[in-house]
Amino acid sequence: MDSEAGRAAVSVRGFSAYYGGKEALRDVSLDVPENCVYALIGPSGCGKTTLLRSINRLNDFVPSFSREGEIYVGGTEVFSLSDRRGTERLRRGIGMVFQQPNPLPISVRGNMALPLAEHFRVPRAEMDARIVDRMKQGAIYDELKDKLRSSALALSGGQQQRLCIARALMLDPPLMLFDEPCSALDPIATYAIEDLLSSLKRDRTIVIVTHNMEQARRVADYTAFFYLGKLVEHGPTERIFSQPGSRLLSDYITGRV
Amino acid sequence: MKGRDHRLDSALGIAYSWISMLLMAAVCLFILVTVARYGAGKLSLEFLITEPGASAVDIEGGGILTPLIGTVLLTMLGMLAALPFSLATAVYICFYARPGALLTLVETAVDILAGVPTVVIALFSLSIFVLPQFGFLSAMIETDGDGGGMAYGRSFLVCAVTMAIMILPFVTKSIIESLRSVPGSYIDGAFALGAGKWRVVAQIALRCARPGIVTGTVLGMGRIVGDTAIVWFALGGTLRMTGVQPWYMPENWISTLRNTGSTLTTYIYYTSPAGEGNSFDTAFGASLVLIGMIILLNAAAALVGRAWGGGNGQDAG
Repeated sequence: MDSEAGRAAVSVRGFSAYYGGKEALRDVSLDVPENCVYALIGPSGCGKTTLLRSINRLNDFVPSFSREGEIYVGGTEVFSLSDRRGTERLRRGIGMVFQQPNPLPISVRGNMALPLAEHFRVPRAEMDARIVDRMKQGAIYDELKDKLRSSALALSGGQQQRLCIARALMLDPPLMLFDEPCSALDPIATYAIEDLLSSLKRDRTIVIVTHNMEQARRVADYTAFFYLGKLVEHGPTERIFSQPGSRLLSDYITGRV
Repeated sequence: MKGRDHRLDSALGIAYSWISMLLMAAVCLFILVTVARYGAGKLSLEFLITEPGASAVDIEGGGILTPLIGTVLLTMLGMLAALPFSLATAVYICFYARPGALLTLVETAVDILAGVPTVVIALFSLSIFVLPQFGFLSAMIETDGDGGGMAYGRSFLVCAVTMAIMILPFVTKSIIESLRSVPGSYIDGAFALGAGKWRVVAQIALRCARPGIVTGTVLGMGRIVGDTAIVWFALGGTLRMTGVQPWYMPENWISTLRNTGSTLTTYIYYTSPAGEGNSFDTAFGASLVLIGMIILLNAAAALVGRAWGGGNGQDAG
């Protein structure tokens, strides 16, 4: 187990989470291996998004949030970071993409430049080169190369979401979190993002929350199934879907939960 | 079973709304037409750039230069004094305050202040700004030689501060509302990129809330333009500027600000038959200018809102 945890991009150990008195996660332990896509699935309210938002400590902003247990990212226990700078550095190393595409109401270029300009002083030529490169990685450059100056809000939902992915890539995060990134998109835009995920995992680790089982099946190497705050089952995606080890999971897969 | 026939009550309902709409439009138009009919004759460049007579009795000869300047001056000063406090309070309430007794207290105070009639705020101002410690805002007056001294307590500066107090809750509340309507996904996204809290507030939240902040500002300015009670209590009752003359010379500006004057609203009262002027035409002329100012203010706000992209970008799809 320890040797495996050493190679894990994310290790969750005995993790429980609460909103006020309400338990959202109970005693969850799992390891996310490096350079894979790891899907968290389960019905609404099962705690999968809570786990995702705990990894980069975004739940800190929910006043009633509290937790027990540990989460390790790249060997660092995230809740041991006690000062603001520490958590900000942690978040810079973890890209996050949300359910609702969230480009800011500024230009495409402005959106791309923001994460770097926020933390570093970058010469313009270097910035431009990096923007082009990351937009190519985000599979959005060809569509938007003539629209760098136009408002990011004028783009379609799918383009906005890929722009947000490319924006997150600006900081070269070794770990990326996706919170139902396709639930606001049409099927074609969804496939574009799924394609992108498999190319992105070559250099980084991806944790994705999805309520779409077909999506988990298509993109994920590993899948963890949550139900009412408990981790019911986890393992290689193929095994999870072909031989569910529990009644609950097989009911969920067949649409009965 | 026979279905109920709703034709009659829906026809009555529609007729009722239609008549109400017509009635309302008629009243609005009637007021505007009356103002225009009496006021238009007075309107001329000369009316705008001439000072009023020294007292309302010889009002016929003069124009509205000083009341007009007074209104503009108070609006700018009042807003300048209020906006920084409103912005800071709204940011604190939305992003920093922990839910608890203090936050409830502040929000309740803001709500109550928003409901206090302006004449009460004016009275409060009169009682405070006559204290000698506030003499620098108006002028000191001698008392019966006991050495105490009192401030006069009425001046453009006093009035501007009072106006700021009056609009503080409105502007603060509207900024709070626009900050709260900034989509949470923007805020989360910025935090997820590792931005510090102050940067998120200053760069993301305030930027997205800009159209709402403009609206709140204009709302507040409109209230200053239209207020009469505070001018009455805190600016004094003179039609002209009473500082060192000529009041418009830069070396006399401080003196002008520390002395009394009038605005379009008090001018309208003085010149109307309710005041001493007894001149409907003059009062309506000033009213026409006042209405024009408010229309301009709203148009400017709409333009600024559009130039900044408007909305918070929820409409993209």
